[in-house]
Amino acid sequence: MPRVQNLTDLELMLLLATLRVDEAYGVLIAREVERTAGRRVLMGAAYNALDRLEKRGLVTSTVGDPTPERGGRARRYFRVTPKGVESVKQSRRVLEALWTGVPQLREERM
Amino acid sequence: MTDHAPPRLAMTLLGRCFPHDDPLTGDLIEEFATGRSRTWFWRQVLTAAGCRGPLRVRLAGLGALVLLVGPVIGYVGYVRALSEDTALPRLVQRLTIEEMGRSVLTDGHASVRLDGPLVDVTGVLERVIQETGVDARRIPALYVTTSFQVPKFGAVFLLDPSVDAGVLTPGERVTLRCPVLDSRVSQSLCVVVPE
Repeated sequence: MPRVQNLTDLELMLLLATLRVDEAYGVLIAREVERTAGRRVLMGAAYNALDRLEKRGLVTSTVGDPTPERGGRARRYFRVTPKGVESVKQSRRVLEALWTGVPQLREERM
Repeated sequence: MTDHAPPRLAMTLLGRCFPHDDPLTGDLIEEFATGRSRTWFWRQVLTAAGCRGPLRVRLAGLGALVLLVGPVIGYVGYVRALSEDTALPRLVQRLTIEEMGRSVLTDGHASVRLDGPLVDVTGVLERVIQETGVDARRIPALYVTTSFQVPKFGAVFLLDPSVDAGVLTPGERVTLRCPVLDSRVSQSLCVVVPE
């Protein structure tokens, strides 16, 4: 199994949310995390985490055109790279490996 | 500008902290327009500035500066306050004679209780720290605040070495001198040995 740097809880959620929505940018990613995971996301913290992920090559970003409803500010669209997808899968494998064989969790398994 | 425009001051702060981070600002404006509260906007801006912007560096630098300079300023400030003509009589009025007398009779010194707003606060904090077992060194703000205890210890008044503490009689007036103040002004404190 290739060694992949662990993702934090927030990083994993952001990656998954980015994969789930089309044309993912800050607002949509934060809303998706909030809607599916029930976790309120602070935009500054989300951008911090996304910057880290970009430095690690797990996401890429492109800046769109400015729009009036955003006060003339542009959107920054994020896309998960193949390395990012592999990282998410790896996180899932790790969690499932930890999950397996724990009697107390057997009934709760999805 | 509509009624639901983002707080102007918060927008200014955003502009100052993130002059080149339009997407973050745009996201906050867009989300705010969906009906988020001004409190929500402020929380987003402040946390973004704290965890992401240059303010993070500035706050860290400011914290370090306060940590280093704070106790020194506190000490100097307190000594200066004691040196003023009006400060000492006010302090004397607040002295606990019983505590001072016991100290004078046994050790030849009196740990003068400098009751004042600053010492009151630090005294309470000190007690909280003792009872909760919090390591104040891990909380810079707390550490700085409790460091203001330093002048309290600096204001120990000493009995004149020529006086034998063992022969003092109740009701006798003795003069105590503060070594810290002596270096700046000639300051002494006259107390009555308790019955």
